[in-house]
Amino acid sequence: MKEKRHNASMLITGAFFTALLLYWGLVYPEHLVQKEQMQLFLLSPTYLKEHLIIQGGLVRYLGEFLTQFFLYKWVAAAIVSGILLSLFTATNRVLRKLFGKPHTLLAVIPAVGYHFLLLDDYYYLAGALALSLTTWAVSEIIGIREPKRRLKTTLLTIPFIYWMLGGTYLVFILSVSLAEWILFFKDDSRKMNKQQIVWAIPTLLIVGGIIPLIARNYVILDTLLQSYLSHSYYKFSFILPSPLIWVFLALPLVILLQWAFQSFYPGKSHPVFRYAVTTVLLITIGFGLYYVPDFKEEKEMKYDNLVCRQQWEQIVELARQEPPVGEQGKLALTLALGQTGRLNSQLFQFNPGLHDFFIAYQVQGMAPLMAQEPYFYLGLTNFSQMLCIETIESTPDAAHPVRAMKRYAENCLINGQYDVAARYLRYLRQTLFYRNWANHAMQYLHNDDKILSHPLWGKLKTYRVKDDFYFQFDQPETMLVALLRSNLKNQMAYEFLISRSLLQMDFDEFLKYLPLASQMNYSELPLTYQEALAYVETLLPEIPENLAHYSISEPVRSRLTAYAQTFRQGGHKEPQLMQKLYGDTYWYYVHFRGNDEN
Amino acid sequence: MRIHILIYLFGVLFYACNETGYVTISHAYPPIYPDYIDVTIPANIAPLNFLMRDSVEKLLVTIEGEKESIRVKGKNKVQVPLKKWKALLASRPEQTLTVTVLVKKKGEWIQYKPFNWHVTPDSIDPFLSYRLIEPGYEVWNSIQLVERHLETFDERVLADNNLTGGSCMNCHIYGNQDAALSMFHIRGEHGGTIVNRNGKLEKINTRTKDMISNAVYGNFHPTGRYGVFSTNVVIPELHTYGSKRLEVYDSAADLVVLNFDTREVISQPFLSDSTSYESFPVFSACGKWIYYCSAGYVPLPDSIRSLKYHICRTSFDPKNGTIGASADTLWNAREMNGSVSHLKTSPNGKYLLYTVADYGTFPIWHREADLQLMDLETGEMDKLEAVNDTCSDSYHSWSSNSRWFVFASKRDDGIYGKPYFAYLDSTGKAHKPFALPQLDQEYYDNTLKSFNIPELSKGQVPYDARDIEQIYWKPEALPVRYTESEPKLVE
Repeated sequence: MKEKRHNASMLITGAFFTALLLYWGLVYPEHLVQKEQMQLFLLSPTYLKEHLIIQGGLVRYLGEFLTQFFLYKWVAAAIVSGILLSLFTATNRVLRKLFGKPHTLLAVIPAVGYHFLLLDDYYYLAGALALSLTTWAVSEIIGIREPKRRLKTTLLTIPFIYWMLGGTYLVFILSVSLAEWILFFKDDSRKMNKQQIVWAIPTLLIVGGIIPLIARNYVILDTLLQSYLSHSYYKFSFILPSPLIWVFLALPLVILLQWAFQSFYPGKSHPVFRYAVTTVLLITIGFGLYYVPDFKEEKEMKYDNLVCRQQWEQIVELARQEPPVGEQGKLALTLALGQTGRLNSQLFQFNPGLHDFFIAYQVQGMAPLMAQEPYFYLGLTNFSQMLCIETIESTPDAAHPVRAMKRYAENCLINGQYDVAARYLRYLRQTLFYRNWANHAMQYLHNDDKILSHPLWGKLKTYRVKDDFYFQFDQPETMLVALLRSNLKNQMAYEFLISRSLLQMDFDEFLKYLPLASQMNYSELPLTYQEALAYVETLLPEIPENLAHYSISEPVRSRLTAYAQTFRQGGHKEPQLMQKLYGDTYWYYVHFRGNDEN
Repeated sequence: MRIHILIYLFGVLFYACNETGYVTISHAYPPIYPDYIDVTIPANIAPLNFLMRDSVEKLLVTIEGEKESIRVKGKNKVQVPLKKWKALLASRPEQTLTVTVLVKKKGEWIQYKPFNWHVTPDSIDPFLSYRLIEPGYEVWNSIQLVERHLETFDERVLADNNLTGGSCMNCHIYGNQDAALSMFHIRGEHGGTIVNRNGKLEKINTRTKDMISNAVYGNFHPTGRYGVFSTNVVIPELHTYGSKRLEVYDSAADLVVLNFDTREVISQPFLSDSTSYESFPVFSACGKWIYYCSAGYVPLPDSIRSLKYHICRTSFDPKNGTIGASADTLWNAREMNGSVSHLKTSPNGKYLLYTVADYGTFPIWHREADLQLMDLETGEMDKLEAVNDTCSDSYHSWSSNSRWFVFASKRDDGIYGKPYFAYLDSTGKAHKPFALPQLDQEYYDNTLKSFNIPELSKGQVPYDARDIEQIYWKPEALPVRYTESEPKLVE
């Protein structure tokens, strides 16, 4: 019987871990990968010291240490699943030590609660770790049979948990107090006597209330809220999010529930009752799994992460399977098309819009990491640099996102600001995964020629604008022209400019810049430009001499003829048919999407 | 003492010779950071710790005074023990310290050319406050106002925006370098100008509907009763070229005087109209003049390079709290082909220290911005060549004895500002400045914070970050009343 129960327990544990692993690895990995980009974990004694001198610092340090491995999505999934499994196991152990054989499903509540929290980008892994370690501590305390020793150990553990793990010390105090109360009423052999319980629980609560006040007065410089909570769980330090409160209360609530169930059914509970509880729990979890995750954001992050890794082909492939809907995904696709030389021929296969080229700059809120990418690849180094710093400065937790640090250093290298680049590279050298990159980048310091020989930095250095002007966020065409005036080889700037004129159906601009196509080393006039030119020709009474020398291929002309025929024969009233037949052409955009887009 | 040093050096050389066979004598100064070669220092400064810029295996430093000396060794950096340093400086009020650096590099011992630290008995005000902020663009994250004890390495946080809802904090300034008279602005929902008068903190809302903005750049009257402020509508623009960063200019800027007793704000039509921009006002040491920068209207940002600020002066009657009706120009921007900002009068009334850039009103992002000194008695100007560097030098403040000034310099990398101290001797000659000493010499290499508006004071300010937290969260800031004509004093 015991072996059977053990096997069932192992099965549940294994199933729980596998479910979590598959969820984080297959369904929701991009959020985890992004968490890695949003921190800068340094393997230096100073960094550890900086954490150890603040409340909850150790667990934040450990959380960041583990988060650095989120660079690899399955490792990330395994780490998160492992921590949540640990929380589940510890909760189960607490219930077992208090009640004997517990209702195992109740023990998943804290772990599932934290699972939901981690779906949100603003919650740290450190919180799950802290809650898990705290729950283990509760379990160990309950296991001490002698009441006085138990109380002494509890009192000694409280400041330790407070300083190392932060606000979960409150969970510890509540859970231990509740456990003492239950043991007292259960007539357990471990129970305190009446006199002990009368002063023990208030003492625990008072100690818990006072410790942060002492720390705030003598040790730390922090707000009252964070003096109790610490900065280890949630990125916004001025807010105490209610979901966090509920997840922290989950352990004492689970203990209470189990106590209530056992009081209701002192012996073996009725199967109907067990099934009912199980069903309610599963429905709640299912409901949470449906409503809590932000799959739209997950998709955006997938594109963003691919941009970060410069996996341009994968972006185009992904866009063919799941067209991007958010501004970051669309920008990623535009960039990928530009980087793979497809912007001039395949743009209109993807329902492009005028806002797919840049993300609007807003001083409020956090500047997305993605926002600086187009400026970087266009050669607008200063603006990419600015947005890196704006991302760093607008990060709610004042962390220094490693991706922004790395890109800022690259921009400084390209700009010849070597001393500033060195400052950032020195930080990156202290990381586990960016150390080699930083060491390599260090070799480029104070060496313009070496920078120019770099495949990317060299090209971008030659792209930088040669005229000084103030950046106008609402006039991207001006800066694209300035980029071309500085370097006619800047193909992406040219294609951005032409694409934007086509999207605005501004044919004067299109024709104005079309002659520059000859500077771009195209083997022939790109397909989209041929389509646009062929369309423009249909608007003119006769083809002017300066357009006559552009070669429009026979397939393009034939397709335009076919398009025109279908359009005239009722196609203009059947956009779906036209989209099916000609949705990848510029003509379809002009007739069916252009006006809406503009 | 000298015999001890000789024995020590002999020992070092013997040890070195045993290991490598010889010591190479270099005729170059050692590549140390910060650059402390041949600087003048006050007798009450903390030890000038430094590191070697090139990689060395061992480092032996001898600091030899006229009576005593200190020997320090390290791997590639030295930390001079504070007690020994203080004893050395105390051994003679005025002396020249000779610093000898001996390094082991690739197994070979090298002795660099010794350099001097000239210790002057003219002490510097012992406290320095500054704002620590990452040099961003428009967004900020953590900001702290910090007070540093210059005789040690002790630091104290005066204000922390983590405790004030993340609000922006401007820099902390003193009146008469007196810690009992200081102020700074906190922005944000519960913000205001925090004024400390004898330890009593007040939060004042310095804006009325007649003013274009809250008080921005300001200065105390020597009596502490008045403050003179500019009000500015500030516009930032981003340069696209090279390593240029931001251009910040005012689309409107006026000048007002605030009576802290009556909380009445006064101005003059010529200081608050739209035909000119006024900024960086300060009172003279005698309190009878207001110096300020002024530029005529130009269309912005198109004509930004024509935006050049003069130094002007108008009278002030502290008895009645009235501003003069006209102004003189002391420094003509057109003739001098530059633009002035950040005026600071010396406490002895003799000098005016200011920053000159090619154009504009925000010199911290102008690499060419340099400090300049005007002798107010003779009108002579000193370009302070011994003090300035190729990067922006600005945000300066005087020591109460007028013999020292501190300024923020972006030398080294053009982005991160650090406090530098320069000595002005009795003849008015400025000496080579030195960077604020740090306990860990790598601090400046590693920090991502920039030092803004370093200000010297004679003592510790009588409040800390918790007091600022309390006053910030108080719901109401004290209002002010505006009048353009001569004000009546209100009890």
